[in-house]
Amino acid sequence: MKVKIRYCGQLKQGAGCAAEAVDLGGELSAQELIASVAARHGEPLTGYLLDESGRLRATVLAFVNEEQVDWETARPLGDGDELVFMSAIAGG
Amino acid sequence: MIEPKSLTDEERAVYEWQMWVPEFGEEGQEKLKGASVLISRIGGLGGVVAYELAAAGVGRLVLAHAGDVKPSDLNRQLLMTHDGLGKSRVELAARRLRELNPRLEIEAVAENVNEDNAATLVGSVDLVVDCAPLFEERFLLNREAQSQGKPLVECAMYELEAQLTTFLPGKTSYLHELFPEKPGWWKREFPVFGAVSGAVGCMGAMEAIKVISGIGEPLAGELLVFDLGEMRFHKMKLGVS
Repeated sequence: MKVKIRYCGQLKQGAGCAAEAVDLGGELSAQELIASVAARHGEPLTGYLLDESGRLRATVLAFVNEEQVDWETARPLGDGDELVFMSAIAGG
Repeated sequence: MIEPKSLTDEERAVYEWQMWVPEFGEEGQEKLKGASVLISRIGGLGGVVAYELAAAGVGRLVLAHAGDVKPSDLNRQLLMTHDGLGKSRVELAARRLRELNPRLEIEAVAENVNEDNAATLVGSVDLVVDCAPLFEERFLLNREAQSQGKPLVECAMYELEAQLTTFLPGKTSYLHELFPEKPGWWKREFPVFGAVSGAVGCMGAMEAIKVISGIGEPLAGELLVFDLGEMRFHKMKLGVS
């Protein structure tokens, strides 16, 4: 089962890529995938995505198929799903 | 509540093409004429928002931006000019907008939104457009707009990407609820093209026009995220169920 991950804004630099395909290797929730992605990439992406308690940072939004992920509710992933990470940006 | 203002014959001629838009008409134009909008910073984003709202005939624009024009502003801040280097940004912007549309009331405030002026600035308008570079300023403006029950259009950009949403009182969250913390990695100066700020600025102006006139569907509860590098546009559904 494969999903696509997209990184927006400065998260792109943290991940070293704009997008990647990931083989889940089994059933995973969005929350489990986020933790796994952070562990695989290491810093700086881990620090961008997760806080000290391993939860999604308040500065980042995650979406599965364009719907916001609620960290408190396990969101099962399916083949072909797209997970998007987005950080807050501003203007100038 | 916006009080529509009747149009003169000259205004009917100027705004004719947009009054042909179905469901907008003269009634929509009268609402724009009666409306007031605060634009927080008139740089790459806000300058284009202001230009489009002035062209569209929003009756009163309040521009808040401190400081003078620098060379590094000129790649994207389209209300600024080379011969304006070293001069007040907001005064230059007001002059350009009056040249475009002398029928409007333009109020130039040579200050950024801060704790001392936020309540007065927000209280003086019907709608707010947030184009500021610093999250402290954005959160303050959002809190004030929410507390005063004012709609707020939120525009943001980075590199080739942009974000746009509209916060409506009593109907949506505001920025400080969507992002309770500012990102630690955000810097005051960042990479971006003027064509990116211009694109999202035009869309932000359209959001303001829609909210004021009642046409279309504003991006309430949705976040438009786009990447002009790939011409990829996504409308993200905000809120967790």
